[in-house]
Amino acid sequence: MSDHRAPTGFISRYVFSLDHRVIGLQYLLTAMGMAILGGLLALLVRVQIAWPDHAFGWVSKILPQGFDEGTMKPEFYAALFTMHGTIMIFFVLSAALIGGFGNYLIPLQVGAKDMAFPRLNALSYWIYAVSSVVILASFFVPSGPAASGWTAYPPLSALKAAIPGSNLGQDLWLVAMALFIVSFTLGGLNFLATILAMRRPGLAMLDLPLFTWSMLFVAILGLLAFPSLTAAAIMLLLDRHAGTSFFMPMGLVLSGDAIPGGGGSPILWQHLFWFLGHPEVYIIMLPSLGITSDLFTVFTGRRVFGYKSMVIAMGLISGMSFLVWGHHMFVSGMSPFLGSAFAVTTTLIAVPSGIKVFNWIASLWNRPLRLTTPMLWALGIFSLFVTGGLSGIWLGQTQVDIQLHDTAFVVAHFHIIMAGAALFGVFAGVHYWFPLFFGRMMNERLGVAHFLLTFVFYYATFFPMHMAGLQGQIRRVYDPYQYDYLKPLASMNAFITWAAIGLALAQLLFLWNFFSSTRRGAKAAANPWEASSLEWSEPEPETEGGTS
Amino acid sequence: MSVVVVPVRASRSVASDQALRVAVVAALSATVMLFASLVSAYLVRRSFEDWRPVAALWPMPLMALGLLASVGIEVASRAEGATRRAGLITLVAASALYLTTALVVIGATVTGPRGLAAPHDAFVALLLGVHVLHAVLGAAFAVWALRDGQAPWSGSGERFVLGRLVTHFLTALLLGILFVLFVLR
Repeated sequence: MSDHRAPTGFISRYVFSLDHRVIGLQYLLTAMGMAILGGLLALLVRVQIAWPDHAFGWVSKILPQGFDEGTMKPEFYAALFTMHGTIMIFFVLSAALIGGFGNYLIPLQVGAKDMAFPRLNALSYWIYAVSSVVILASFFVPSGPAASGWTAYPPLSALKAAIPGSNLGQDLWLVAMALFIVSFTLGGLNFLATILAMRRPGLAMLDLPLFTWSMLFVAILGLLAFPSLTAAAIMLLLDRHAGTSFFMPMGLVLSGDAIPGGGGSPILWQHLFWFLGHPEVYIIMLPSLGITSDLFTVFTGRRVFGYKSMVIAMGLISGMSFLVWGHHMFVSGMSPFLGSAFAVTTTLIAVPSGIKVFNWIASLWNRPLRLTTPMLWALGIFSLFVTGGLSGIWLGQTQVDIQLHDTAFVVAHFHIIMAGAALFGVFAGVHYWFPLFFGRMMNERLGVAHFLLTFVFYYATFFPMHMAGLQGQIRRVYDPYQYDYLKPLASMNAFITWAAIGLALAQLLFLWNFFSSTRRGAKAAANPWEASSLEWSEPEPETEGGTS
Repeated sequence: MSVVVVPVRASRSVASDQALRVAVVAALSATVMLFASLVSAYLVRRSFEDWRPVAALWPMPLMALGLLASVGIEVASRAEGATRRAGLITLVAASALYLTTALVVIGATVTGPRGLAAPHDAFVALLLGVHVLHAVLGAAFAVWALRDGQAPWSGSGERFVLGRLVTHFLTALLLGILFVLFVLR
């Protein structure tokens, strides 16, 4: 199982490798490529919101199918936010944090030679790579990529003729998601088996870094939550191609023509989707929270406060994440009693989240902090987790959510707590483990500058969206100013877009720092951060993995 | 955090067996969640106006074949010599017959007069189809498990235990599906 010969050729060593470290870097680099694409899509969305009437001739030359005489087509706008969300959530954040860091670090942190099933591990990466190609291919089909949102709500996603993106692009979206789920499932099995069964003898579970604990919970969450999206995706494909009516309601009329058949329930899709969708939030966030705790240990010189309660809090967050999916559907017509139940479970998640926050405060309290670049990113995660968590308590209440549902407030909330905290986790992890990955250090000055610019521009981009949302700006609208009451928000939206452009430009510093440091970075010491977790220790020649 | 370094050579096969057990249990848990999602969709859909369930006789032979496969592997795991061989042959034959019968049922449902437009028929094809897919994967795993490198087909190894677990799991899943489709109509 964990027994494989050292590869000799370039292809077997760096392309079809069975080595968990190479596979981890493959995930990380693929996710970085996808992040650049996902980020550019977001910029196009923002430009459209800020200046919907402006003609951008140069963009229309690059993407002729999406523009009409320089002005973006509404269906292309829908495709942009759909693909941005899908790519960022699944193909960037999940892939980088779990596939990238998880694969590289779990065997090292548990003292095993490799993952429990190296071939399965390689297969997992290559299925992810194929799913990335499939989702990218949808940009090149004549009808364009999927445009029904990352949530793919039917009937928009079920009716092939609804909009151009509902055609082949939606099929490719479903196939890509199915492949991604297979990849994630194989990875999850491997993570669980490695953490639970391949630990170095004598290494107890409560000696593991919190990052590895987060990976354990993430694997469990993924294995139990993704199947509901698998089931929903199969049914949606059958609705689209086999004449079934799982999600297709009766009485639909499209362009004046009645759609035959139907009788199903679009709300059923929402239940199945969000049963995955909400745990997915924690699938993305938990690794970041684990990284933050571990970095606080390293850079405060003392084990994070309340280690056991941190583990319990992660377990509670994971378990409770299966009980809150209905809060995404408060306006779907659910019974008020059920809505109240979901509001209570949602609010209760604040308890384990609060445990983490107060433990972090206690960890930092009155300690000499080493403000290295990774530590700055960890503090950034802390800030975003609190800010986004507070707005989450608002949105968890039915009375408030009914007002704010599908507004920019929600966009602000999830970009801060989920996307931001996870993205900052990627940066924290890359800066911290870069010496392990490449034997060199990243440039600290560039790292600090990148952090400061990203931190400022991130808040400048997403914080004002709270205000826009409170003033009623609805999301996913191609031209907000077709509504008179939103016209006063034009200058705020322009500010947000300029901040987003600044945020994007700040990432060039990271890309430069990352790639130049792989060749020209200062040689790293064996344990440059003076950490005490196993990945920084010299490998034990006798260790072959085992059980405690 | 303290570093724990215990330079003890571990028993790789024990760790491998444990890892395999964890992976199999995790995979079965994911499968349970998949079918739980499909069944929950079924329970919602059957409450709609156009629900017209039909009775059928084919679940009986399918159920018998599933149970026969489980009995076969149990016999193989407990007996020696010719009886064990008979148990394994029963397992293989019952599995092959199940797959064939299930595929015929799915084919007949899809190409039948109502096709998949009738929601109950759609769920018959869906649930049975997903089970067939899992049965194929389970059979592949069982063949691999029963050919345990230490003592092939002996019935004593850890992998054989996992093979039994998977077989019984698939049988229980089939019984559950048939119960939902034809008792909770």
